[in-house]
Amino acid sequence: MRDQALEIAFARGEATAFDEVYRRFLPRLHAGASRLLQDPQLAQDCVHDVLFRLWKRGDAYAPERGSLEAFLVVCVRNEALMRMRNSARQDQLRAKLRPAREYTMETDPIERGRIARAIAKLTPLQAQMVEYAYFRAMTLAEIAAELGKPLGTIKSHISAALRSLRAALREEGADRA
Amino acid sequence: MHDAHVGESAELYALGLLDLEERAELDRHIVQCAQCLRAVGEAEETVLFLERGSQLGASAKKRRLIAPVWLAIAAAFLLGLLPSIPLFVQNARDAQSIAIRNAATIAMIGSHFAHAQFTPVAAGAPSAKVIYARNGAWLYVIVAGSHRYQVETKDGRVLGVTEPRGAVSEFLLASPPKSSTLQLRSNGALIETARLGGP
Repeated sequence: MRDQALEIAFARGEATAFDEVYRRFLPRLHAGASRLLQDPQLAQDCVHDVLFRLWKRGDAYAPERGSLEAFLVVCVRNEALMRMRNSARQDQLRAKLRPAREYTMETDPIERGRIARAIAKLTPLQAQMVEYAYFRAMTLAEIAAELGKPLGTIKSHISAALRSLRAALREEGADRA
Repeated sequence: MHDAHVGESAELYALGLLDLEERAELDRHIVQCAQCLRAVGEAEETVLFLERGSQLGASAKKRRLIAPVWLAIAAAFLLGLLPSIPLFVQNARDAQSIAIRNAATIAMIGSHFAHAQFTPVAAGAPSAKVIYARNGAWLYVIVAGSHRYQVETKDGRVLGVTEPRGAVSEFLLASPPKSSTLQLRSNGALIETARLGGP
């Protein structure tokens, strides 16, 4: 459930909003960064740097964009990906990223059902795109090389895959980000 | 992109597949284009779902395993395993979230805990200890071995399996069922037991 008051406050750069965002979203942001960086301290630094940068910038987020949480998740993921790809440990980090099929979502059975059904609606190619681009954090060039297809084709496949997933989540009533 | 809409770049942006220059260009565009701003927001929300899914999955196996660093250090101290503290700290990396870890830590700081040594019932059983909150809020089993050991109550109720971390294997359970005795099994064989209720 979106907290519009918090989103507006964050967009305005209100002091209390930063603390609240930190308190509320840190666990998820940290977990996402940790999955990529495989180091809790590096992940913490990454999250802190991103939030601080957004905070200082002030105009990075607008509620019209969508959920603040989604925006922050993507900002942190982008930063973590950049740090991961710049890391000398990149190969080790990548090796630890598990493919989607190993993910068993079982904390919330209702959520689990929705997400599982949405993913199951993807075509094999779309599911593969999601796995490569999201779960394995592969670059476009890496995916293109892996599949032996032009970069432009891969871009289209990935975009279509994410849109299909979005549509499937809507059908499942799970798009309540 | 100043004139054209973002198109498929919205999804690529949300997945972190654009380079810095491309991202900056898209950022400049969506400031002036509400349609593309929303398209990017929708792509981001889809990624948020993937993130939720992956975190649920990543944490689900250990959703009841919470390993605050201070507890790991206490356990290490009790077992004389201080040199292996980094291994315990490693386990903290797998905690479901900092918030839960903090909550657990606060709860544990506010509780009194006791410990009991496991007594071997089979040859070659490794040293093991259970540390537990006196109010029954949690228990923590640590074994000086690098295998997985099944932790169960005396009546055979399986509580979980220890996770190897280097030279030790550990297990932390919140809200365990009441039991005066815990048992450890290795490959199905009962190897040691511990009576709870001691100092």
